[in-house]
Amino acid sequence: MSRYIVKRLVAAIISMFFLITITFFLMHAIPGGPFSAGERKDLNPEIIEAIRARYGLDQPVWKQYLNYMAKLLQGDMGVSYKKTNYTVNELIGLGFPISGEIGIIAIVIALVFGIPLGVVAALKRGSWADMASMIFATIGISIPTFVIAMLLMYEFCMKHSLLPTFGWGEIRHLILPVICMCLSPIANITRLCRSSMLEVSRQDYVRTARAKGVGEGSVIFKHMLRNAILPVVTYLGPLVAALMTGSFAIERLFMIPGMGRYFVNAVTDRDYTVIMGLTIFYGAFIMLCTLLVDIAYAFIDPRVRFED
Amino acid sequence: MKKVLAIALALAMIFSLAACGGGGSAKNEKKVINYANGSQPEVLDPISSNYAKTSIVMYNIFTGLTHINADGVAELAYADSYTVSDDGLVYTFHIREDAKWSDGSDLNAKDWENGFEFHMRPENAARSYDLKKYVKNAEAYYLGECTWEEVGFHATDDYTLEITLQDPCTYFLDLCCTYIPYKTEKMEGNPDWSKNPETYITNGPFRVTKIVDQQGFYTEKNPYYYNAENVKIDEVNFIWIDDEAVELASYKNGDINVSDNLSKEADETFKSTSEYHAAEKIGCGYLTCNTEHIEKEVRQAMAYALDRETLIDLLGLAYEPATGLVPFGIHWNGKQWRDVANEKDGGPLVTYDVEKAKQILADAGYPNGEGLPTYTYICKNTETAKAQAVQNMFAQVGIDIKIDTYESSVYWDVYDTEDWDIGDDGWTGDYDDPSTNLFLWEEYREVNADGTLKDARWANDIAKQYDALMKSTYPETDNEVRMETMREAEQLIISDMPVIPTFFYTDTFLVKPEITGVVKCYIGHVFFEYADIVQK
Repeated sequence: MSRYIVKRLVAAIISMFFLITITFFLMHAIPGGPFSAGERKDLNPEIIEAIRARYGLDQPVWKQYLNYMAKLLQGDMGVSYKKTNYTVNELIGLGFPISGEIGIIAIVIALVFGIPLGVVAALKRGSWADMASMIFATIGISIPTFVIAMLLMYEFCMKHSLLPTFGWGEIRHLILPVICMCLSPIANITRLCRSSMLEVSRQDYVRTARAKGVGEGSVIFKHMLRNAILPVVTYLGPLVAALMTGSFAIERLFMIPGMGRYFVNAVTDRDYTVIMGLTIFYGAFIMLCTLLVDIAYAFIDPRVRFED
Repeated sequence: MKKVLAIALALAMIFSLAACGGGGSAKNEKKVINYANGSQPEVLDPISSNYAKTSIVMYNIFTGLTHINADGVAELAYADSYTVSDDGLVYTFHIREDAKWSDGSDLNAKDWENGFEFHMRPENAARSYDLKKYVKNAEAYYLGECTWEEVGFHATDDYTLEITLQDPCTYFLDLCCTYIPYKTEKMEGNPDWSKNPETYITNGPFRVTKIVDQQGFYTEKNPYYYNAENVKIDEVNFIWIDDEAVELASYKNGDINVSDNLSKEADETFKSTSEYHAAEKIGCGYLTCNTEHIEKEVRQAMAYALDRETLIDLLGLAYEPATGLVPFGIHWNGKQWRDVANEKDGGPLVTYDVEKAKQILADAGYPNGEGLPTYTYICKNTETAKAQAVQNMFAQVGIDIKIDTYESSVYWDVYDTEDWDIGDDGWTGDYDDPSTNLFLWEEYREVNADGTLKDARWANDIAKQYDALMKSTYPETDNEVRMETMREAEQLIISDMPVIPTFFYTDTFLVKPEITGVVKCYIGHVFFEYADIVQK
């Protein structure tokens, strides 16, 4: 087990190195930069050069890369080029707890609704309950979240003034973003859960359990769900990473001061250090989540054993 | 466990829903303005940015030697009197003796000097610098070429500030609105000063109470402001809303009560109501021609071919058609500069006349545009509709253009390559004088960072004459002579048409009916110092 984890960590470090290097050079290859002369007609060219020099942008790209890597190894991701009074570490410190809070709530709700819906749909296959949950699941997957967000905002904020359009810090600010964030995961979990439950229900060991006279509740929860849950767990790895690091569209619409908004703005502003920092953070987080999922397999799925 | 959590959450949601349903109408005796103006500006301190959005926040929390009054013009503020030397070079300001910082400590002339030194210090790489360069040797100090003693900005005693200028400047009192003091004791060696309300000490009508990145910048009335007794508003919250549609929704449901970033929908919905305000802004849009690629007659034909009224209607803008390069909002002896100039010129310099455009092309040997290449027109991707309308208008006289659009962060770098024929461009000035717009085409603008001249822009003999005319206005102290010279310069540039004027900008914003006295000045800055909330 521990050897497996070490192996995975080494692989993750190598992947991170490639991720950082490729992102760095791609980012510098796209046209545009944080300080352009044409936009600032009021500044002398000399002054613009002085500003660029202060941020080390006057040096060749490979040198900027080496400087960046040297600092990164000490855990310093630099200062934002646009929000010059913030370091990237600070921005992540500000944004991640907020995106993470919405993400965790959305994941919990998605599991609480998604799994029972999927189980019911599979057990009552062909019934109205199955139809209803499948219709809901299809809608949840196919309508983009920003459309749902706009509709909810129109209904709850503009037409009835029940909820605020922006803000952060109170429960009422959470309601709409969380609903938007969890709809598509609920739909996905329902579908995954339904299909794997159906598959499991045809297995011999389920029939055997029933033949042995095990109670129906025990069959469903102990024998079927424990196996049927595995695809959901797999899905949970990337889902946790995606939800907890913030949705670009939802954070922009509801003015949530989270990571997603930093990311979008950094890309359009060519805020190199912030783009790098968030990419690294996101990359590391997604690797961590998938690793945790794989470890979780060992506990949930009795068939999985890590070879030493 | 999960179930319990879910039930708790669901209950919380229901309760909070009920709570906002009932509590929304409760009257708050505090007078609060929630102001939105699009997304958050990158930096919220007076040194690192001078974009209008940041300035709007800054001039509500800082006040300079002069400030914008309720009529939108500059008057003395923290300076209660001043004298000017006969050559117009030395301004001596007397600072109010009762002046205080927002933390209650004394504010004297030395704070102004320290603040200016801090601002211009090379290692601080101030990005808002343009209006400071008028001071003698300020630019040299910024570039590390001289000592502070040589800069013309010194406190001679606690209440006297002596500013020596590089050249005489008839509009210097306008600029003094931007000459604000810094409490440098809180800022030296503390790069985080602007993130913490405790170190963010100001001297304006409002002071900082809370700063939440990506959410809002919260201020309250500053009790130590010299004019505090006349400030009626208790709190001003600057709220950042990235999306125009959301800003409109927030305005409609009352979450914000002043909205300064209007979508086309907002314009249309509120245009005929009393909540809609339009203010002239000293900005002008224009198309910059690469004069190496497009000859003079073709540029003139393009200028005549543009139906600016139709363009404005099509795009749903609140702008005015440009009739020159100096926009409305700039004054000549108290009258609109544009009106005075148009009258003296015997009509607008720039007009729409398709027949004339065709005639000019035919006379130049390009009847119906035959023989002309297809020109490359570049713009930001947000300006595509305008580009297509321009394309149609040019096509009517036989001039073909190809449109290339770019993301806004890329656009100015493409613009800098000069690898284009027509570039969409515009500029909003900083002070009430035509030079704030006309300086753009002076020769020093055409220099690359390495000192070589840019080769594609306007650099012919007329450009040199223009440059000489503009330069002659700087040492001139007779305002009438300056204005006449600049009128001549404008005629000259329009005769050669290196840039084709399109619109004069207007600033539109929404204010809830119960709010009075929101002032928007000619640069587009908003002031809440004179505002009040009157429940009807």
